[in-house]
Amino acid sequence: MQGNKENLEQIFQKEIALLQSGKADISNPHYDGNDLLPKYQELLNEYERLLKLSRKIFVISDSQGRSLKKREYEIKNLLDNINQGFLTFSQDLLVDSEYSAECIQIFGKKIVNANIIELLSINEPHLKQQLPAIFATVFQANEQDAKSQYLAQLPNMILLNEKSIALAYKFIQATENDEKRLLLILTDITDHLHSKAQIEFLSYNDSLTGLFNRAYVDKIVSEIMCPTKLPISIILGDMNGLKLINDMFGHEKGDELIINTAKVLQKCCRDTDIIARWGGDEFLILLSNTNHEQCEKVVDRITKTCQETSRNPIEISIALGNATLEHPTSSFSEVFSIAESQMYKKKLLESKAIRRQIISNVEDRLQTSRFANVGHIHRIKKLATHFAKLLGFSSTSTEIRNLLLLASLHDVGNLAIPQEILCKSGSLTAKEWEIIKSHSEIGYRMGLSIGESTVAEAILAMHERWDGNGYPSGLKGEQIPFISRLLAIIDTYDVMTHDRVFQGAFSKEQALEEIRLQSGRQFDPALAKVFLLQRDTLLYSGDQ
Amino acid sequence: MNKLHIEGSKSTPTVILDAEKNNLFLQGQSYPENAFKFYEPIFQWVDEYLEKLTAEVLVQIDFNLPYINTSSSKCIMMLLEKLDKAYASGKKLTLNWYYNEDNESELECAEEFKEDLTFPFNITSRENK
Repeated sequence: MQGNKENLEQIFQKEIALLQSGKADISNPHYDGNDLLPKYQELLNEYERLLKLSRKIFVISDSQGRSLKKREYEIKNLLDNINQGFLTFSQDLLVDSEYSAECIQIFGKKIVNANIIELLSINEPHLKQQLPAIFATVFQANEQDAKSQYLAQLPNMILLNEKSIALAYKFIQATENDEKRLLLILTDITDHLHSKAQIEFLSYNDSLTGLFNRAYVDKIVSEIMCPTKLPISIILGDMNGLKLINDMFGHEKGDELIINTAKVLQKCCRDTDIIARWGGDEFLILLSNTNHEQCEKVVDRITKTCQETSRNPIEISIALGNATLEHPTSSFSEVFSIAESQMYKKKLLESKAIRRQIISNVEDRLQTSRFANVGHIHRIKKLATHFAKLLGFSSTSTEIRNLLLLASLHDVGNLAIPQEILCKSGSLTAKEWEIIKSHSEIGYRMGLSIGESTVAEAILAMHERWDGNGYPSGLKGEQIPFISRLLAIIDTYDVMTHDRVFQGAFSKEQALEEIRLQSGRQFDPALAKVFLLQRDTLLYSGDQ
Repeated sequence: MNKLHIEGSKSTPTVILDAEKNNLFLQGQSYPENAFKFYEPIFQWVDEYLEKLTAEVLVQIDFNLPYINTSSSKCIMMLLEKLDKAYASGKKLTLNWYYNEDNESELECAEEFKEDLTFPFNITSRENK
C-alpha cells in the first residue's frame, strides 16, 4: 500500500507542484491586500481537497481492480480445469465471449460468436431444425415452470466429433433488466459411457468368450420362462479334455479351446438363443420356442460341428445333455436338473471313448508335426512289442499295454515346445535346453490327466540314464521304470537310424555300436545286452 | 422523519436509513450506472437527519460494501465527510465498516476511507459481525 501511495505522489507530481506554488503565492507578501486573494485561497483549498480525494479514489480503485482481476483469474482457473465446457448465449444464439477452455477441446476450435445451433448439430443434422424453435420458446417464456418444461425438450446428449457429450442447460437472468441468457454445460462422457458399457458387459458376459455369464442367465430366467416362449429347451454342455490341455499346453491353449467351443455353439444356434458360459468348462444354452425334437437337432449339429472343427491341439469334444420345458407348470430348475443328469451320464458313458480319442488326437498330432520322424511311433511300437515279447511278456500283459501307450505318448511334450527350438540345427542355449527338458514333465502331466499314472511316471523317466546323469530327477539304475529303460533303447535306435533335424541317419551298425557304448551309462546294461544279442531277430527278421 | 429503504440489487446496495432507531445501514456491492443519481436521495436524507439530530443521541452506522466502483467511492466519501462534519459539530456517531478477511483489498480500501476522518470508525471483520 505504501508503494501505491508513492506511486500516486509521482502520478500527481504536477498537481502537487501547482498546489505548492499556489500556497507559496498566498504566503508571498507581494500579493498582500489583493482582492482576489480570498477567492484564490478558497480555490486552492478545494483543489487540495480534490487532489486528496482523487488520490484516495485511485488507491481504492487500483486495489479493487487488482482484487477483481485476481478473482477473475481464480474463477477462470476453476472453470478451465473442471473438465466441463461452460458457455452462455442469448437470444441471438451466438456464443458469448467468455467460455471455459474445455469448450475448445469439445468443439475443436474457438467458439466466440459461433452460432450455437451450428455447433451442436455438427454430427446431428436433425438438431438444426429442432433447436431454434425450442430456444426461441425458452427465451420467450415468462413462467419459470414453462421455461423448465421447454428446457427439458432440449437434447441431454449429443455426438460431437466422435465424442459423447452430455448437455445441461440453465436459464440465467439475475434481474429483469439483465439480458436473458442460457448457460450450457457440456461434459465429455465418452470414457464414462465406455467404462459403463464395459462394466455392464463384464457384469453379464464372460470376458473370455463374450458369451453371457451365469449372472445374466439368473437375471433373465424368469423373463424367458413365460408362456409365449414355450416350449423352452435347455442344453447343458461340459467340455472334454480341457484339463488335459491346460495341464499339457498351458492355460492359454486351454482358453483357446474354450473360445473355439463357444464359437461352435454360436455357429450352431440362432441369434435369439441365449448361450452362456455356465462355469469353467460348462456351457448353457436356452432355446425359446424350441421343442424336444428341434433341440435334439441342435445337439446333433453341435456334436457334428465339433467333429468337423480342426484339431487345435485336440478335437473339440463336449458332453451334452438337454431337456425341454413344455408346460408352464414345470420349473426351470427341474428341467435344468434333467439336462444336467443327462450330460453327466453321457460324460460317464463316453469317458473311455473320449480318452481314446484324446490319445489318438495327440498321437496324430505327433505323427503329423513337423519335428516327428514319419512312422516313428508306429516303428517303435512294433519294435518295443517285439522286444518285450522276447523278454517273456505276453502280448496281453499290462507291461506291453503300458509300453505301447508310452511309445504313443513319450514325446507328447514336444507338442508344447516351440518349433523353432525343436527344429534348431545349431547348438541350443541353456534356456532353450531347459525348455527342451521340460517336455518330459508336460508328457507326465498329460499321462496323469488321462488317468494313466504308471505311463505318466514312465514318460517322466524317459530321459533318465542308468548312470544317474539323466533328467529330470537323476534317477539311477532300477529306480528308472522298466518300460522307460526298455523304450529308451528302442527310441534311441529308431531316432539314430532315421534322418534328424541336426544330423543325418546312422546305419544300423553305427546305431548298435552307439547302444553298446552307452550300455551301463545311458542304457540298462542287461536290456542293452539282450537288444544287441537279439538284434538279428529284432532288426533283420522283419522290415526294421 | 420517514425511513429510507432502498432494496438492494446486483449493482446497488441495500440502504436502510432509520431515523427512529438512529441507524444507518448500507450493504452490498455498489456499481450503479449513475452513482450520483443513486446516492442523491441518501445525501438528502442524511443532510436532513443530521440537521435535526440532537447532541445526546448516538447514531449507529453500519457499512458493508464489498465492492464499490470509482463513482460510488466518491459518493461514499461525500457521505463520510457529512458524518465527519456532524461529529465535529458535537453529534455522536460511530461507524462499523465490515470487510472480508479473505479479501486483502477490502481492508486496504476501508483504511483508505478511514484516513483523515475524526469520528469513531471501526474496521471489523465480517466474520465477527
